[in-house]
Amino acid sequence: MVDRFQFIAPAALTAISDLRLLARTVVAGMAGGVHRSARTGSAAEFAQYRSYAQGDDPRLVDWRLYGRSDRLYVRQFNEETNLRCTILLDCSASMDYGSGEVDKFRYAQMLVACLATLATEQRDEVGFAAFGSQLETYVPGRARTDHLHRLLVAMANVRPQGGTDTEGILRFIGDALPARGMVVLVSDLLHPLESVLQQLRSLRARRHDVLVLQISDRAERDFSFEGALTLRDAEEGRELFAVPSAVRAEYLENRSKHFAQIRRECLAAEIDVEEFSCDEPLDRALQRFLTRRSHALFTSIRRSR
Amino acid sequence: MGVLLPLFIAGSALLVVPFLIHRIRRPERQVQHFSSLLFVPEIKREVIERRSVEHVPLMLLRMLLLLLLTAAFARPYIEQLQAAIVREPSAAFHVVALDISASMATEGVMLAAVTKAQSLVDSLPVGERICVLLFAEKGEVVAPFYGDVEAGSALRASQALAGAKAGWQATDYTAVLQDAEALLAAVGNADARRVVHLFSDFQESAMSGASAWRLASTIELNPVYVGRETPENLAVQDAIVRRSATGEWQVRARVKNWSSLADQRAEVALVVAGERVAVQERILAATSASQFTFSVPAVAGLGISGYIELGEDALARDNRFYFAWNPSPLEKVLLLKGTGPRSYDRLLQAAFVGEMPFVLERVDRSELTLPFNDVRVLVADGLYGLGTDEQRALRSFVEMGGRLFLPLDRESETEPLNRLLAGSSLTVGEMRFAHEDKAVFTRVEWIDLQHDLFRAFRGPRFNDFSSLRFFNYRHLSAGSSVSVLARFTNGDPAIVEVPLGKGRVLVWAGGMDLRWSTLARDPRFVPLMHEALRYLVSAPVIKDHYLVGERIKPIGARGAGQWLEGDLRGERAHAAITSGTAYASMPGLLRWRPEQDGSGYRVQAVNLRGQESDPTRVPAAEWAIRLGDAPLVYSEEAVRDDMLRREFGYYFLVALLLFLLVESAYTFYLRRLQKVV
Repeated sequence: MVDRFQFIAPAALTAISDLRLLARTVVAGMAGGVHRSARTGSAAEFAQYRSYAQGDDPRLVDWRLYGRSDRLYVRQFNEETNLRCTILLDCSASMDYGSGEVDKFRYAQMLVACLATLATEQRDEVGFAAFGSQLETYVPGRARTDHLHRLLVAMANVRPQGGTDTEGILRFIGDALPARGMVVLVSDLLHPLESVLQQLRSLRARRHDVLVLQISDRAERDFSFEGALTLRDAEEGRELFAVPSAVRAEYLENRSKHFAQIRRECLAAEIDVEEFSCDEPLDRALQRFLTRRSHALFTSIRRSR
Repeated sequence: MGVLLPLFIAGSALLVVPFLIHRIRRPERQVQHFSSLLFVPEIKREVIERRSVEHVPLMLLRMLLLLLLTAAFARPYIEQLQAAIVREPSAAFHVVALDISASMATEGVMLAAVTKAQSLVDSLPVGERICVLLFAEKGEVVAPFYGDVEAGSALRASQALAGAKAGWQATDYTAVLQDAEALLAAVGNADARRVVHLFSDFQESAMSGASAWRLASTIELNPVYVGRETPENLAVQDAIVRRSATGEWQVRARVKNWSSLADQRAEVALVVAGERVAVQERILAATSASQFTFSVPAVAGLGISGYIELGEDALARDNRFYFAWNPSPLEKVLLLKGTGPRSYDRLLQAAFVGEMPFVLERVDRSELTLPFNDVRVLVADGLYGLGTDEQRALRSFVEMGGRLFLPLDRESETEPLNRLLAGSSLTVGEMRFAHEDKAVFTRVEWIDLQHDLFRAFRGPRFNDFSSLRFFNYRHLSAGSSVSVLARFTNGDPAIVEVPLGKGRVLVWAGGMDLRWSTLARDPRFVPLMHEALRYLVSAPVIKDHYLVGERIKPIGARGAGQWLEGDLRGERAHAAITSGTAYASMPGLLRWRPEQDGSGYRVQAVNLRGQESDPTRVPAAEWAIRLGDAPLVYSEEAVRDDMLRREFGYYFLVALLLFLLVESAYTFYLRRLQKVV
């Protein structure tokens, strides 16, 4: 029996209870929700005036404007709909690493659970896919409340192992999902990027709102080992003799270049990128992320108007 | 190893090895699992080398260990170099004593000893005089000191050494050192240097009998060990022959595996009259011994001789053990026919039926005055009406070494008996009771069970004689020279033994008359009579087994004998004994015929001393301490040097342990450092 509190700390839930996971783009949902829809309807938010045409609902005619201009205009409103959110969890062996109390995979599981809970409470459809070198599990999105439990069970049964094929999973998701959804990629992004970025851009072209949540560990960021040691790659098993103090600067530079390129490419494609560190409490990191995202979203809407 | 010693100095060059290892060898490092090596650059070789040499203290520690090892092995050579530099050439007298005992026949040992001794002789400076002494139990000079001081001394010594062969005798270090001391004392120059070089395997067993004697302090001692460590050797330690209950000869041989390292298969053969009668095989564990038993059908009246033989091994000399068993001539016992109305000589005669270890003859009283030829014991019940001539003949018989068994009875007359026993402090008195009454009796309260007469009755089932009832007996008054072997309840002697001249008289106060005691009805009566006569007969033991080096005394039951021939390990030797003794020089079987008896041969076995098989060795230093005198110049140095070397060994071990400890701690410390992230 999987308890959602196995993945979600009550403190994290409390911290994000007032926040929402909002799509930055207009999305296409099947029911009403909190996200902007591409369609206009009977929502409270005014969108524009349109000249009256035969067949329009007379209730939508702005009679005050008719009195001033003697022309019939119909008021149009932005419809609000729900979201198809699909969370992709990287369960390659590189995620099974952690220098602190919580390893990256565990941290990512908790993050996914929080996002899924948040989306479910927003009545969004939440789908889940775990992948390593191949697709490990896939739970299509549903908006039902008990769907969250199914999703958590699927996630609990996943073990980090093997290599990573992010490109393949992104291609699969791109083909499987209808347009205008939200795709959340939770990964450490420790693999070559060119093809991945290509697939991310492809998703973006299908009007998906794409979020890339990068999970990192403090030892990966600092590379603060001492002495001489043999490093063994978690995914490939390859061993490499290293004297960390001698190669630390080069390592940090390589890493910095790698993630800077990701950030640059993603920003260019309007893909949101956020780094989550295992040594930072999840509730704080999630609160920071959602707040920033909401703020950015409203800012962009305001600018668009 | 001596040849290699200079190489150990060259071993100092090995010091470069830790340096190279620390430069090129990758240090021990832990394996760290990491999420991805995507950003980790390949490390360059220069970095490895530069960082590996960081553990300089560890490298120095390892170099120090190598230095210690090199010094430890090169030390003897260094000392030889120092000695060669310091030594001043001067005239000296050297006794080269070479051990040729049986243990030196171990495979390869004698050759090594001769080679070493010859090397020593060759290395001595020209002009120094050399005497060669081969020794085992005693020394034999094979190359004496020559009067001249020319170089031929070394040549003669070397030639003498070349002819040395291992013998059969055991080792006696004291004797050879005494011989060497005498040889060196005989040389005139008191100021000259005197040295004894002794080449031996230094057996521990040869040291056990060492006396407090020490070599003179003016003589230097140079012990040279030439033994072989733990040779694979089986040895026959002993072989005895017994007559089994079924009438067969039973030969029991004890075979020991002297090797402390390996089990060995022992193939043990019994050889009788030149033929292998039986062979047994068994695996003997290291340092253990086992008994092999062979049975051979016996021929009545004949003895048996032969040997136990093993297969070939490192020391072949202890693979054969000779044994011999000779039938002893039966002693003659006379039983005097009774003359009194209650004589019980027939009762006694009835007690000695069957095969007895003596010949029993029943004789009349009239024969007492005849010469007692070859008679060992005379049994007389009471001696009723003993005449003067008969009493003198009896006394003469006893004084000449005969034994008289005298059970007293009612008819025994005290006066003739006391005349017979005159001067023996034993007096025969009157009867205890005037007449016998079945209701009045006494018992035997104390018996000297330690006496040989009662040896068969020492067990708890047989040692209670208190059930015997004595209704009458004769008082015996025992003086100081009389041995009381049993007493009645009131303390009166019941059985006494009194020496008389060369012989002795055994007197029973209670006799055997059925009216006097219940002894004759007791189940122990017959065994007691057998034991009494066995005790009185007790012929001198004839030794049939000798060891190499012992004096053989061929005295049989009837006097001196004469050697006929000896067959010593195939070397047939005729050895007539002129002085009454012979010297057993090697193992084998010796046959001889008693001088006054041409009826048969007697075989005697000569065997190697068992100590020669024992592989336990004494270090040369300890040997020198036990036999050399402490103030000896050369010896003291040698001993001290050995002691120092031993101490050096201890210190070296301690240093090695400390090194390992420090290295472990340092390595642990380094690993701790590496683990810290």
